[in-house]
Amino acid sequence: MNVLITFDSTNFAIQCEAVLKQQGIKGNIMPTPREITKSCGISIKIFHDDLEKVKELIKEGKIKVKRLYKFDENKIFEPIE
Amino acid sequence: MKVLDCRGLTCPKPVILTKKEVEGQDFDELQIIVDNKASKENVAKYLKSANVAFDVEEKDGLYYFYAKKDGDLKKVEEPIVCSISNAEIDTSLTYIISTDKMGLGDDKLGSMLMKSFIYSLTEISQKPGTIIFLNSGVFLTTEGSDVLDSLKKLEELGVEILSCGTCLDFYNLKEKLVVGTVTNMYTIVEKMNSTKTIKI
Repeated sequence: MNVLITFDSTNFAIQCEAVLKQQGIKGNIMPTPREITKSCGISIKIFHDDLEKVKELIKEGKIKVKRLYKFDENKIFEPIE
Repeated sequence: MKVLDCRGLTCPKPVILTKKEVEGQDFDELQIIVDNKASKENVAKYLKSANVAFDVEEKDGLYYFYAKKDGDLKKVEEPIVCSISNAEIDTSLTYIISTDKMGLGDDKLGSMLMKSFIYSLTEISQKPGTIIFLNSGVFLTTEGSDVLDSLKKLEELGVEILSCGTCLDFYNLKEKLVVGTVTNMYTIVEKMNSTKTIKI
C-alpha cells in the first residue's frame, strides 16, 4: 500500500521532497494521476508505513500538502481524511 | 543440435539472436535457452510468426525451446517488439537523456520534472527499447540518484539502460554505476542512425 501526496503548488512539492529526504523518508516523485487533478502535476509517492511521520510533519507545518490518497497496485485513489 | 544459450540476456536480445539463427543458411534444428518470461513469450511469438515448429519446456526456472524447420520459413520484417502483459518495449525507439534536469530554466524544477518523467515511463505501456544517458544524465544511473528504483524496474522489463563511459569517467562515477551498462559513442551513433531517437 502506498500514499500519494498532492500539492497546491510545485514549490510546495519541491519543498516537501527536500524535507522528506532530510527526515530519511523515502519519497518518489511522480506525475499526479489524471483522475485526481489537472492542476499542479507533481506528486510524491511514499510508503503507507511512513504515513504517520508525514502527518506529523504536516502538523508541525514543515510541509504543505493539498491532499493525501491511499492507493495500491490497482491505482484506485482513496482520499485520506 | 545447435544450442543458443541466452541465459543472462534480457528481451529482446534472445529474440534477435534467435532470428539471426533461423534466418541463417543452415538452420534446421535449434535449442534455445532463456531465463526470463519476457524472453520466453517473445521468442515463442517470433517462432510462431516465422513459421518454425517448436516445443517449450520449463525446468528450474529456465525455458528450453526446441525449434525445428517444418515447411517454408516466413521472413519476419516488422521490428522486434518485446511485450509482456501490459508492457510493450519498442526496440525501434531510443531515448537519449543528456541532462539530469528536464528542460531549460530553474534547476530544482528541472530535476523534479526529470524524476516525474522517468517515473511515468515505468507506468506508460509503450517503452523505448533503449535509454542512453550522457553528460550530466549519468547522474541518474549512478549512486545518489533518486530514480534508481524506476530505472531498475525498466531494466527488468527489458529496456536497455546505457550510460556514456566518457561521461562516467569525467564525473568520477565509473565505480558508482548502479543500473545498466557502459556504452561508447559508436554505439550511441549506431542507435541514433538505426532507430527513432528522441533527445531529452
